[in-house]
Amino acid sequence: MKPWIRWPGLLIFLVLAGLSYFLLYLFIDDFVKARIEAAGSDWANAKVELDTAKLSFFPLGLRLKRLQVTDRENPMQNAVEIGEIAFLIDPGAALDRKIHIEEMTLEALRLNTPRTSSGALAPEPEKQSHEAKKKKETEGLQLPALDLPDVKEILEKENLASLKLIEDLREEAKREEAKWKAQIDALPDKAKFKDYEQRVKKLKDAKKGGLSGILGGVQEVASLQKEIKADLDQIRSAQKMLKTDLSQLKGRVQSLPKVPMDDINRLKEKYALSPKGLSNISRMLLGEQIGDWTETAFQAYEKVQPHLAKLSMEGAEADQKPARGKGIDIHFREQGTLPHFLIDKAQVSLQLDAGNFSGDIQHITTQQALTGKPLAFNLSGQALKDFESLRLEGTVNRVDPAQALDTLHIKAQGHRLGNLSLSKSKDFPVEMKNARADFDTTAKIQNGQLDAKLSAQMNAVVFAVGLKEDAPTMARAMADTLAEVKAFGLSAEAKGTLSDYDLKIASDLDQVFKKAIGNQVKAQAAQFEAKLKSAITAKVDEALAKAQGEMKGLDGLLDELGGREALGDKVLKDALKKATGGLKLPF
Amino acid sequence: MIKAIAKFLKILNSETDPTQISLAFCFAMIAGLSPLLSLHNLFVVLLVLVLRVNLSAFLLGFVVFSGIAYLLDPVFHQVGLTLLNAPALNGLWTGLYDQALWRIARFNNTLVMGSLVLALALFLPLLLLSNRLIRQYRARFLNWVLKSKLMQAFRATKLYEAYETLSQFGGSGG
Repeated sequence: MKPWIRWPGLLIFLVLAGLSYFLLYLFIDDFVKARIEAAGSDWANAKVELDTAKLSFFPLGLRLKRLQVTDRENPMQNAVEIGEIAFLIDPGAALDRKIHIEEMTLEALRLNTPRTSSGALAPEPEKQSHEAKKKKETEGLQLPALDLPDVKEILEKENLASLKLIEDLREEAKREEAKWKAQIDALPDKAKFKDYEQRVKKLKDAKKGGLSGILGGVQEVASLQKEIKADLDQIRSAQKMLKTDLSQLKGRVQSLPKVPMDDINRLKEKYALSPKGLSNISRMLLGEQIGDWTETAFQAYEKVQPHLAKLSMEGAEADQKPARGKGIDIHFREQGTLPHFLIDKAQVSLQLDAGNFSGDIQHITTQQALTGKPLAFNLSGQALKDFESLRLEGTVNRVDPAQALDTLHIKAQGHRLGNLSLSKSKDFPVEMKNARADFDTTAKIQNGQLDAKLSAQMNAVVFAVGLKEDAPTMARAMADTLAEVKAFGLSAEAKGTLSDYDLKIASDLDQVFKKAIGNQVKAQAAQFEAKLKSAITAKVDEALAKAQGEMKGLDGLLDELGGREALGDKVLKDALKKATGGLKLPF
Repeated sequence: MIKAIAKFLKILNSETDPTQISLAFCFAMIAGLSPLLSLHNLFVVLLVLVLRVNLSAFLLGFVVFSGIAYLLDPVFHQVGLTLLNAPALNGLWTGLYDQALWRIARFNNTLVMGSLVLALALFLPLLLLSNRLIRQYRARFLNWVLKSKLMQAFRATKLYEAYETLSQFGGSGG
């Protein structure tokens, strides 16, 4: 029998191992390139390509040339293209299967560069119609009426609260009348009292039958009187209640205001260019543009949101569905605090259409909880195409994933604006032909809640208003005012969620307008108010008269009860008088 | 592949120690069931080359077990996940996780852990079972197989030609 150990096998193993190492050394760069492209494509959900990857062992590092990440929504364009990425890897950490990069340089980062071939991975996802959304949101931004609105037209389409109040009261009066009619029908009526009268007469006749007749009659009178009294009590009680109800209804009619100021004020505010409406002219003029900018920023944020979510991978392992043949790596608590992947600092240089930017991104890791440091970025550009200077700073904090916090601070000097359409209104189209803006913006998104502030100063402003020849006087006054404006300050605040936020805009343009055309606006508002007041009062008076008419039905019912009471009283007195023949009865 | 099957048949029908064949199957099971590029598979290859186990049986077994591994992938993942998440073993895993060698071995991967544990658990039973089956085959069925009509038909095929060629060259069990 041959021995169990086959020593040449060890030699073969060493040869195979050496060969493998040689092949790995020979093809490692291609292998790394393929791995980066595959992993990058998985991560970005878009085709990632690399021209070359060069791995060095001493020192351990990697240099990547021309990394292209396809724009998922436009496969013929790269969302990002980076000319060169170079970094050294901590070999000690690498032995622990960790990637720790102290400093990385990203040169010539460009956005939205064209591709020579399509980078489509899968059928393109259905695009969300931001245009439609934007249109819907901006449709509501309309300038106030610039000429006197037609009161008649307004009253035809508007519901008046005061009229509704009177209508409700009329309905209630009708209900009360029906209710009381039914109740009164159930009460003793005049026929019943006539019947009592007959019975009294019979008793009188019986009295003529001697003493025995008198004694028998006394008992019957007592019984009859009791019955009449009980019926009278019912009638009196109903009469009392009806009086109370009627008095309440009449009181409410009386208390209705003769001039419904609430309706007048509401309609005046809605339709007239009131001095108060003028104070929000900046929102009307600038709201649409600021809304557009805000939307663009939010769309960009939503685009990167899935990648930001990956900055916190803690606790996600159990929910992962592994790819076939891959499994899932389970992570355990470690002695050290070095994450599986960490770039301490990445030096970035961007080449954008707007100009060149440079800066750094710090603490890039998927385990911020371990480092305790949020991702922080800082980019700045000088002498740009549209800016004198622009600085962006921000953080993406997932140290505690339950308290996710993203911040952004943008500071810009000398932003050149030109031919910016502010109002597309047919009656009052406004364009900002020229301006130089200095602005400071801060935005904070914590657990989906947005808090953003903008403060801007616009200088060298030139507005242009394209008025029609028959434009109303007020529109002309506003256009003249805008033509005089050379500078203004602006502040905006957005609060809420990304999909539903409240945008507040304020500007010293409001004061400028107030000063310039405030008196004209006041006069126009007063004229409109007078017309409105007169028309509404006429409508209300008519309704009020109808309501008072409804009360007459209830008055009639009260009279009916009064009639029955009077008849009952008369029968009762008659019964007493006739039955006793002058004797005082003990009741 | 035909050559590998032919060679395996030759070995099966030869005087090679059944344990050499069984052990080859068992090592093939570890290498075939678990992800190929795992550190422990380097050790398995070393053992296969240094120990006198049957290489043809190992190669054939590796192909067969790789196919089985594809089918059992979800089972391996589940077993691995259960073991790696077992509170009682957490101390052990945490200790290993802090050591570079074990990190490189990727013990914390559900598929590596699940497939390796199941392969190791089946190692001895498979070794004993294969040994017994090979011995039974040689004692009871070998003559019958050689004389059977199916074998006669098989002898007319290319596969048999390959088998014959190898027989003439006297390929060894190793």
